[in-house]
Amino acid sequence: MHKDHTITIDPVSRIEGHLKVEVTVDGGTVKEARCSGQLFRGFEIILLERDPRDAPLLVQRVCGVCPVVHAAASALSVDAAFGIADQIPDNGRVMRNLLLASEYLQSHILHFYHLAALDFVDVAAAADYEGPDSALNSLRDFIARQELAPFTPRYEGDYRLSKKDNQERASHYVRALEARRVAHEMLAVFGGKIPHQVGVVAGGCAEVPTADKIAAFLSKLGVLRHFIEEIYVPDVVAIAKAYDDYFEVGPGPRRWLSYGAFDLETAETDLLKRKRFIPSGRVSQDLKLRPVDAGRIAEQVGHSWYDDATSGVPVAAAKTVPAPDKENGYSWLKAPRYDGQAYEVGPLARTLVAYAAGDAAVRSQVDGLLGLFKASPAALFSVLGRHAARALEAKRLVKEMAEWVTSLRPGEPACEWRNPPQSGSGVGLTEGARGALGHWCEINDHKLSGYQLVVPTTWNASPQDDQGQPGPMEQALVGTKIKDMDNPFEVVRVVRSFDPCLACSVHLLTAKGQERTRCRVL
Amino acid sequence: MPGAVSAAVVMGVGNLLRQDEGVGVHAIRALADAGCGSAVELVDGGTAVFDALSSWSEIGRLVVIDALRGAGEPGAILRLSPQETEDRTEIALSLHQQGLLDSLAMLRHSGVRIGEVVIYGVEPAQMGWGTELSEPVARCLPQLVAQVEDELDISPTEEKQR
Amino acid sequence: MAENPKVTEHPVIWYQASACSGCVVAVLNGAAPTVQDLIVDQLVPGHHVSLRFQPTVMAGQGDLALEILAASEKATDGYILVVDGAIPTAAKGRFGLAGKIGGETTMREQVLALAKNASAVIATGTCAAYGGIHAAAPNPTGCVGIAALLKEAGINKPVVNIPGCPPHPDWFTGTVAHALLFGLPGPEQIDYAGRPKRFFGRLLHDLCPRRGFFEAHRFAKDMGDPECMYELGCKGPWTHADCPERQFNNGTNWCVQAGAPCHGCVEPFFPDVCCPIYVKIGLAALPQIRRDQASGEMVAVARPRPAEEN
Repeated sequence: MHKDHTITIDPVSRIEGHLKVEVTVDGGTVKEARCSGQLFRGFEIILLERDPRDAPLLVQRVCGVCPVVHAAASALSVDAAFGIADQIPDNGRVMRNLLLASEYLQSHILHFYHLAALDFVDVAAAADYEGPDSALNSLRDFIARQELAPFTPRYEGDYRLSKKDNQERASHYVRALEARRVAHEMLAVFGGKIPHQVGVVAGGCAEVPTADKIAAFLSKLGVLRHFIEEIYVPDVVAIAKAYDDYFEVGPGPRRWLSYGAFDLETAETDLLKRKRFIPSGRVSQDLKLRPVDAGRIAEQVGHSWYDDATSGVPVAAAKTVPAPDKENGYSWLKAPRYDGQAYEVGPLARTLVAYAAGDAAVRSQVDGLLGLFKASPAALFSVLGRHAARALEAKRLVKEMAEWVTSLRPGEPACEWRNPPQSGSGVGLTEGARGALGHWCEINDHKLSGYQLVVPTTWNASPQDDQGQPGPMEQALVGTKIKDMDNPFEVVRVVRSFDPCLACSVHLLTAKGQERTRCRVL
Repeated sequence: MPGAVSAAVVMGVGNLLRQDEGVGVHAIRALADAGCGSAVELVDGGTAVFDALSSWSEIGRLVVIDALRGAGEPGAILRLSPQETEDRTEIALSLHQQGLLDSLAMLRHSGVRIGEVVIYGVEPAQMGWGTELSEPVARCLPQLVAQVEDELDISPTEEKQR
Repeated sequence: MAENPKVTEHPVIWYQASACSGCVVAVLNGAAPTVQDLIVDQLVPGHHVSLRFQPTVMAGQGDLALEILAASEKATDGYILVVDGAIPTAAKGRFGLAGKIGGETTMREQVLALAKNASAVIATGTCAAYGGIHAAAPNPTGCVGIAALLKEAGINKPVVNIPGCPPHPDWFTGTVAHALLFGLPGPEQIDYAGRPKRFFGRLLHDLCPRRGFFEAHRFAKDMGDPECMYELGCKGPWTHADCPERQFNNGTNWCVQAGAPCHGCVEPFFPDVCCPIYVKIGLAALPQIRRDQASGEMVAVARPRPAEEN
């Protein structure tokens, strides 16, 4: 576990994918941190020479927790390359929004309860429960059998909730299993199935809306609204109260970026200028809104296992050349930088950008939260700020989705289905549950001739760049005080607050072309 | 939008999933393997004749290969004109969705110039679900290739296409 | 296995290799049985699945988790190894790194050590079964499915494949229930691709509600048309799965019902032969569909590919 003053956590569990974290601790404080993506899944011929319409379906396999956002970003880039970005029928636009929003809800609930909560909640408190709660009775019987996997082994020594509060949260952990399942059922109404839905396609959505499907969606949405408002948000507040020192832990680079998401129109083909429910922008701790220019994004590979010659190239022209034995590399993640700076992405970023943009609903929520804790905005730049932002975003979305679904028009088209053009290029920028996602595609001879992705966790969990500047998660770990080197709760609480998705962050897939027998090494 | 111009097009039609009903498409493959693709356009028409040909603006001669009931014993090959498929009630092409004559008329109406049309029909034995040709129909393919080559004055090349 | 008079514990190690976690999320989506039934309660009375290791949900991390794997390699309790994801083997396995106590190893080494001591292996998802999307050619990470890896390493263990991208949760929990009630499905219950016939024994095309359109030669031309989607690339004729009956996400919907052609995600040849998704398979790549002599069922089998040019 630790040698001298180094703590190595490999694997980090309760995230998506394979992550190794190494922190160097001196005098009880983290002085240096290294986050390492442990898996590389292929080379960047992901979709080369393939029918561009295959892209939205296949790229979902980058991640089974957030496949819809990959389909969505892919569809946006292919739509642009086809020249139909402003011709997506309204039904298609709205269903895409509903599918993506459903994924947010599932992902946020999964994250708080099934990935993060066990760092704060002691489910063993259910051992002597007596009462009518069936979830707690199940847990009690489970504990009585004394085979406690997967809830033990675990870190010990810092569970702060009272027994009753632990029991209540443990019950909610079990109930949240059903809530996130219902969120996926809701998604399947228009997505066909999930994970890896089939609704989002180039040109719109394959499914067609009907009144009964709208009603089914609303029914499940009601279940989720109740869960989010009555259980999820209050649980986040309860945990924040018991662990309020975490409002000062893990601030990160204090620079946030959002591409915006949930198209409210299609006329504007520049996605960063398009009217969207969640706005695009950049902020730092001054909370002043700045614009995003996708041309200023480049991935550096100074400390990543890729050829140095490919470092720092703007994404549209970038190449991927793996170098698994490169000596000063320590991660399969590249280091995306905006104007050479590390930026955090995710629900906190979206919330702060929307706050700076003057969104009334966001301001009301955030000010309310800060008022409750009598805290200044700096409290948001923290572990708890991220958890709170996630929950409050879910609450805003679940209300908005009811408006969206009732705006669907049965009988009107949902998809502008086209054959691939001779040539074209496009970029799809949107926000997934975990943050800013971009897909870039290029078409030649009716087939894909280029494809690149820059995904949220690559921003967040990136290693040091060419200048040695650490990534956001690494920065968030530095300065963290560790009470007990054998039970470094603090480290994993910081890491999990980012909701890392490592499958996304090393996103590279291979795919076989129909007749190709040659491997194109980039 | 300019379309393709070809002196000769050979189109196989039928459903590959219905055993012998797909013989037209299998024949196209056999013609390709015999090297005919360098001399004439070979087209997999599937079950959608109009779509398969709509990207042409002019076809000098069109040869259509399809399963055809009334040709004789399984594997028998019959050469006939589109008009004969309408006139002779004892024969029936595999395409039910839209008669070949209708498809040709629609294509011509939409501006595609098509010269002489010849049909090669193969009597099927089995048209159930499956991808495999029945034995008698599979056995007739080399003769069918030879007849089409003869029809279009193609000298078979040594090189086989994949 | 730890026993008390009432409940038998069945230890499971769930190992994730080169994966997207879709197979894990799929299991979480089970409606009957639920994941609570599977992990907390007794899936079958008197039997509890003890999930010793599963990276997405387990409380422990780092060495706490690695100690479980290390102990398993010596355990005598006959645990079942569940694998999701394909296993990268190129570059000495360095494309898939993994922690081990005091150092680092590769996923390949780790999964082989776990398989050696397991009583059986369940490959969940097309990647673990056949390589799937992570093994699509030219496959520079050398990804393989677990059965192929074990065969190459000379490890002889029963392997049950539950493909799908991801599988329906019932295919997985149904197989676990079978194991608890009757033992793992035996050779007569498993098809030529290692799949339980209960779920994968019939062709989707035989169960499809749009089959009538196919028989009547009526084909969809455009997205949103209600007819058979063969001309829009549906791979249902080649796909062995009961999706039309079972449907996904608690009976909410499934691909064809949602207006999308089947993309054959349970097949060994997914995604290679199934792409382009929206174009029907041409004769060159067409897998055979024929009636199997022995079983009388329609089966679809990929043809051996002709020798490739170099």
